[in-house]
Amino acid sequence: MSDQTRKMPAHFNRKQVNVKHIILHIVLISVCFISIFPFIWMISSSLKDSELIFSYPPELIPDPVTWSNYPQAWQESGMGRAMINSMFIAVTATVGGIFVSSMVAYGFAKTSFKGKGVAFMVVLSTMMIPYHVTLIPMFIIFKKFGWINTFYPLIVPSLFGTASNVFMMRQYMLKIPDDFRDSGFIDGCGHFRIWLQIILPMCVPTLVSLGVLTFMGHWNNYLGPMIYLSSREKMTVPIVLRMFQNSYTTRWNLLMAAACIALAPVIVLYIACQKFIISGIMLGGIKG
Amino acid sequence: MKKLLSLVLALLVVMSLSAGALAEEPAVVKILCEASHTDHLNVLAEKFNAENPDIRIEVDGTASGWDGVSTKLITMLAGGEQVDIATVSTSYYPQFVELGQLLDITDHAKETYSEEEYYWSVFDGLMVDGRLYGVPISVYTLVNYFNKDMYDEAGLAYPSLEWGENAWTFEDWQDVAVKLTKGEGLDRQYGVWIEYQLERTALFLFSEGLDYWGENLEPQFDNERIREIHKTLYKMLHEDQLMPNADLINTTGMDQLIADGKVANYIQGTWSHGSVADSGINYGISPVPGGTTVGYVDVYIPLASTPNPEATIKVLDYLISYETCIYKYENNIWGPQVNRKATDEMKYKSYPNLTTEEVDCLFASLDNCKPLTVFPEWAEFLSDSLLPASSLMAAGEESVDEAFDTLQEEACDLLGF
Repeated sequence: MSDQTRKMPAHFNRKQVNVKHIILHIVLISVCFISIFPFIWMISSSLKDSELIFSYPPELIPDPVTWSNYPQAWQESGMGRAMINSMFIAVTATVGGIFVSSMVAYGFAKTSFKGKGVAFMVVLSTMMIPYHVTLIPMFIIFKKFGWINTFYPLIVPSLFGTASNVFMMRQYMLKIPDDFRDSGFIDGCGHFRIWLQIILPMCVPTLVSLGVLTFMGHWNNYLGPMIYLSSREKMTVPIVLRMFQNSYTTRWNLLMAAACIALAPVIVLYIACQKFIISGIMLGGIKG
Repeated sequence: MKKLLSLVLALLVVMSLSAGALAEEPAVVKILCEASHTDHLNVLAEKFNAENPDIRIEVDGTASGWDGVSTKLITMLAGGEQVDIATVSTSYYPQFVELGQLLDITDHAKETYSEEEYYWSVFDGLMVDGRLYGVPISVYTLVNYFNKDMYDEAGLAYPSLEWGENAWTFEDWQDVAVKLTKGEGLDRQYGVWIEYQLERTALFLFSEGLDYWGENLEPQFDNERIREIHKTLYKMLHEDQLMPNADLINTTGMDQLIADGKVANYIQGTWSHGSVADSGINYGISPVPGGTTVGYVDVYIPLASTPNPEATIKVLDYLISYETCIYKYENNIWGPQVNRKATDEMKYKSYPNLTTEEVDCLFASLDNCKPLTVFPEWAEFLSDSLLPASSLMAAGEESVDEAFDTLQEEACDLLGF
């Protein structure tokens, strides 16, 4: 910083820098506040009595603080069971999906075969098909398999990899020099061992960042569980959250308390993997 | 040889017994319901299952909101998954009738649901070309909740409790709105409120024999009188500020405004009675201006694809039976019920905050309601045209003429006029 200051032109005095910085910080803090306000409102509302949610003028600090919303939301909704179900689905689908996607990505990035370009375009084109379009055909297939009201329809499709994950990982693997692969061949490795023991450990930032994003996608998935599941003991977190909201009323305080509970695992995961997320996405997107 | 014969006979007896046991497997009736109906349907199902060993009700309450139920139902039907009964709102009912997916229960209903025991006016609202494809879950109507203390303070007489031709008029309502509005800014007190949503404001048309839909469903958004009524409402909302505007409602919430004594008259569905009662104000109920209200009927629809039509119809009978309606009244589930006998028995007990006359007035709304005119494309028109237009007018971003011109055009396109 001091070096930069010394190199500044003479007319660029300290006062100007400070004013600029102050304006910049005001703008940034304002944007941060706008971004974080819904989150603060959620926490605040989760600690209020239902009558005080929309009190005017609005109060961000609840008075009195109603801690009982949390145990009530937990008990009424069956949140414990739902979190176990969601965790099982999200972890299984994420781990399996990332594993397979990286394998496919290796194939596109580090091997040569006839029609590779076309095959890659076909994989990418599946990203253009909206989920809703395939809903009924998929339902028919899963019904034939006898998988309705089981977790399989929510997990198994992910185990074939997803186009977006394949694309991101391929981009990252293209950055890794082919010399690593070739040295593996010289040492007698086949493609599988090169992928597993050489390439995959070098892709950890991308694996983690895509893992977090995929986990969040599965954790927040509402439509899939709503369509495929029917028994109460199999409900997932988004289904349970929607139950505080019906066609006529919304129990905001309990909904917000349940949302805070549901958000906790995602926030913990995000914080734990934060440093990988941005770097993983950026590195994956650098080389095309 | 005798031993062998005995063994064979014993084996035959065991086999026939197990075959008998298999034959006695109960017929499963699957109910796909909106999530908020799950708890009480589970209780009712448990009771039914205990009394009817030949039928077992299974409840699926994973879908939230009417759109959620509709999406799930369509997917399940397309996938050939068994659903015997589903819960749908008035908006989605005609869509499923049009798809030919529902069981025609007209003859059964006429034989079983007598006019003495049921509000047949509600069943009539579900008739499509003279045929019935569902039974009402509950009947909701719009009524006027009013703050008695605010009327007393202003020295005004409470609105008449009479429905029909002798009810208070649209002009009476405007007059009261002016007299009960006072103050400025945060202290402003509003004379009236009705959600500026065209589905709701239809009630102002009914008493004049008008509707958004004419003969053969021809759109009437270019009707001058209909526009005039909405221009009056628009003026009351935006210029005269006799009603709280959308901004105030979004930030404060109607429940809070009611509880704070900021609104003297509140036209809303009978589903809101609980929140008005909980607000702690001294309130009463009166008919809506004009004396004809809008009826909303949520429906149990039996699916034509059911493998057990007889069991399905038996469950339908149970869901609107005297016992079920009594249970729903006792547990404050979903307002007025379609069973007249249960209603007569329970109505005064269910509304302890209201006078006998007011309870009678509330239930008389069932005989003075006009169901919304709905058609197979209604749900699409509601979400894509009517609600957006209502929001734009409520926010003052479009005038009545602009919004109604667009509605007329879109409705004509949709219905082929």
